[in-house]
Amino acid sequence: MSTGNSARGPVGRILRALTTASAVLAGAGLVYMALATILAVVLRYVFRQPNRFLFESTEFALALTVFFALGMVALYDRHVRVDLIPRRFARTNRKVDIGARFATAAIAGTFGWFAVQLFVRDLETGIRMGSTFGLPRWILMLALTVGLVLLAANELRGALERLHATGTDAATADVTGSESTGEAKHD
Amino acid sequence: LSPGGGAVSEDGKVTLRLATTQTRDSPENIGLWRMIERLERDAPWITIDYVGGPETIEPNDAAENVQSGALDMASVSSAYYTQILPEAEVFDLTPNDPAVDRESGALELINSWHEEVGLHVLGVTIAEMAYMLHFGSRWSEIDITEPDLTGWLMRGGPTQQPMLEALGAEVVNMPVGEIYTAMERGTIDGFAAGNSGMYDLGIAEPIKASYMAPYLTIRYPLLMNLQTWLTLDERTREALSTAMAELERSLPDIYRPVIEGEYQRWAEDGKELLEPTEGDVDRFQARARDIGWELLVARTPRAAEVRELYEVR
Amino acid sequence: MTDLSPAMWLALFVGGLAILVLLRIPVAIALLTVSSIGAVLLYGFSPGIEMTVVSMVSGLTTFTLTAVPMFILMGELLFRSGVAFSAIGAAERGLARLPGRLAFLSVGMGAVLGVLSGSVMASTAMLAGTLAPEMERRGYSRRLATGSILGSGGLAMVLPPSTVVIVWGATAGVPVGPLLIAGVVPGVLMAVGYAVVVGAWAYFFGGAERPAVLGKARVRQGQHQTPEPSSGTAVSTEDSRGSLVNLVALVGMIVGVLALILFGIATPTEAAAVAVGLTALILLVQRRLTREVLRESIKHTLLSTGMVFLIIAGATIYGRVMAGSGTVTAFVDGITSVTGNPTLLLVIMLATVIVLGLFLEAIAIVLLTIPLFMPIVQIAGFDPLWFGILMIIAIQIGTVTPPFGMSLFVIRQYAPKSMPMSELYRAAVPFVLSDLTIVVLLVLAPSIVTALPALM
Ligand code: NA
Ligand code: NA
Repeated sequence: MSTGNSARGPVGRILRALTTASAVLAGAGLVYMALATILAVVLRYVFRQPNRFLFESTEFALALTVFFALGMVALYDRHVRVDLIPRRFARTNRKVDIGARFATAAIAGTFGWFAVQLFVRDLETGIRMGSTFGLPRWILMLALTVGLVLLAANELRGALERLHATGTDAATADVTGSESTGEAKHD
Repeated sequence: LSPGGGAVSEDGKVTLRLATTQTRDSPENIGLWRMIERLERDAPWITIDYVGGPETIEPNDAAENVQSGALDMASVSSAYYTQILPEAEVFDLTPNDPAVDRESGALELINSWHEEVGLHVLGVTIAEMAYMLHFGSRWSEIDITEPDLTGWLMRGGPTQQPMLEALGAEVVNMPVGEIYTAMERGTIDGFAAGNSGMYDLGIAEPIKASYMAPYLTIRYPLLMNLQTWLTLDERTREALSTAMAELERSLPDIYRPVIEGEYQRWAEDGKELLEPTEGDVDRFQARARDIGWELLVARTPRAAEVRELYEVR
Repeated sequence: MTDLSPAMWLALFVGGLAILVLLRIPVAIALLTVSSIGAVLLYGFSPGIEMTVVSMVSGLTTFTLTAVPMFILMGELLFRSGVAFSAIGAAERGLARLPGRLAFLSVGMGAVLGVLSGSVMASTAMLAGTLAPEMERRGYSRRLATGSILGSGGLAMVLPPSTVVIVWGATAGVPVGPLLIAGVVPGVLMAVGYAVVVGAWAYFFGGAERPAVLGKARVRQGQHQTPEPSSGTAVSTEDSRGSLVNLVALVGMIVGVLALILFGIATPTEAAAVAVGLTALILLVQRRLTREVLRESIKHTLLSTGMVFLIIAGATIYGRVMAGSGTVTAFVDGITSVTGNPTLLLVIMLATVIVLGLFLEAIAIVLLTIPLFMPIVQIAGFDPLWFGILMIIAIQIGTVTPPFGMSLFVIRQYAPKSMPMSELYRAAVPFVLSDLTIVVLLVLAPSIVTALPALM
């Protein structure tokens, strides 16, 4: 992780693979929400056989989808940031940007650490969502942990990449960001 | 210093952090505020620090927040924390007024289960509130003596599901925010909900008729963090217990007018009040409780001990 | 646990958030950070942290919110398959006689996309990606081009379906169905307002193309002889019959989904999933549902969903902790002690939202202001539907106001490279003024908002 090419090094490749795997789960959650809701409507209206599980699992799938997507959102640099410093102060912008990415990684990592502790506790107590009939909460806590850790790791990668990029690279990286590299690798 | 900030300071002053799962001025909190007013007068060393209602604490997380010590106490509907303690469902199945259940020892037994998960039950804060059935335009098909909902789509939570199914209905799950549209458009034929608060929830308008047999009790136990409870000095515990016992005795008088006012408002708004005979109401309630007990005891056999105490008189 | 004065709390919540956001910490992470600090101060270290993390989980398992990714996915499918653009091609031919027809088209398309999509970002991106390059090529003034897109992209927030309306209703406890329907007439009025702005702009200041006489003839012959840009848009490869088919299919789908809700077959939330299914069906029939389209649509839906919902999670706990600190009560007491005049209260709340819109994202504004405003709404006796729609229009203005406007970020990627941000800001001004006019109109005549939902 000590060179600017970290994204292309083995660690970077593993991170990308994990982020993609997590995104695939998120995509499955998204498709599930659509199919389960349509099925629920058909069962209720056509067969007059409403189904509680379809409803509860759709709610559940929403949280799963969001958490498993967090890593990819960071990989493509889509978490919303505010640009207030004018573009002509390229150097200041670069410094702030790199610092912010390290800080974001640290914060997300810290939340990830708390989430994993709650995951362990939820596994022990067997607590469920909403009521004694709900789905187990540890699944969501695990997904949240995964999402936060991948978010942190991708922010860290972004920070290191920018830190080691040369001046001109840095300028282009600011404009196109990991978006372009991300697209290229995916397609 | 207890985890929730429920502090007994040097001069013996006690501050307790409280939250509610209904908005501050909702009817569910009338009894609670009356108790606190009296408590702060009779036990001036106690201060209740109210942090807020559902805008502050997610109602489904409230009991967990008491467990963790974020709060010292919270008034939480028993339906909001069965994920922490399945036995909390016994509150729905009581046929008695709160004071009776304290006297019979039922409350003490229920409390002992709460203490296993780090919660102490100070008592309950409402009476007379219960779940009942509300219908849309199909209400005229109802047989008031013995309702048969075969083929009906009824919205209801997990607590209401068994009775609704026993009546022949199919149970639909949907958020409270969608009940209005679903009733208006006929997506559902009716729903099970409280016997008050329909206007505050914004779902009163599409109700065309209500079946006036409240069948499962709604209870809001006042939960306290067990650690906080154990840290409190004797006179504070005494003051809290006395105030709660006193409140419970006055609850029926506090809540009867509230419920009567709600019923009157329904009638004034042109909603049909489908009133079965007293005998029919009793049968309906007993049936709902029998179903509830059967399922609860299958999940957690010791719940049956409370049933015996409930029925002791 | 820690006694801070309301002023100190406010400094923590507003100042702390501002500092983190200005330092380029993602908005969602900044919200989570400030809230967890607040929660720790209020409730103690581990209870406070635990509350923050648990609320991320419980705040997102909300069925009503599932409509949001569904509508985003529907928009992505329509956009990436070329169906949306192809349908719009049919509409453009109908406008051939108008001067500045692409700017008008932007408004009309904004309205149509507004009904197809629940997200201003998705809609603005579609408008900008399809129309901005073409307007530049045809010599439109770049301000008219970007302004008309910035303006009409916001219609997606007011016209149903709308992510923001759904979140607003779910949070405020106002029935979502009537609230969505209440947005129809105001949304159409806003579109009319934008059309007036575009017409006046083209008439008085020029900057738009002249009416295309040839365009009409070409349609009659059913041929394509125009030299199309190399960008290779769907219109250039699609024959007009195909465009018309797509237009009809889309209109049919919208009508079908509305019918599902009206006849009680599905709830508004469920209708979103059914709309996705119908869209997939339209694509399947046309053999446009390729693996590529499916994968890219899902991918971009996930990127938007992850981004939006992390903000929702952060803003939810932020609002709760702020309420727990007593800041909210202090705010409400402060405002209501200044005045009891309902009109003045309304103006204060609208102004608050517009100011917050300078700095915050729409969902965050919704979640932050509802606990502050709903008590005032009750005291003043406002109709929640009417109030909600006024709030949504004001929040929608925030998508184009600097420094933080989601639509500005989106259009930046499509606007001419030489165009500075400051010129983009100015381009949006006439459209914002049009919105404010509509707000005044709705304040004076509330029945414009409430009549349609009351009919249902
Ligand atoms: Na707009
Ligand atoms: Na929309």
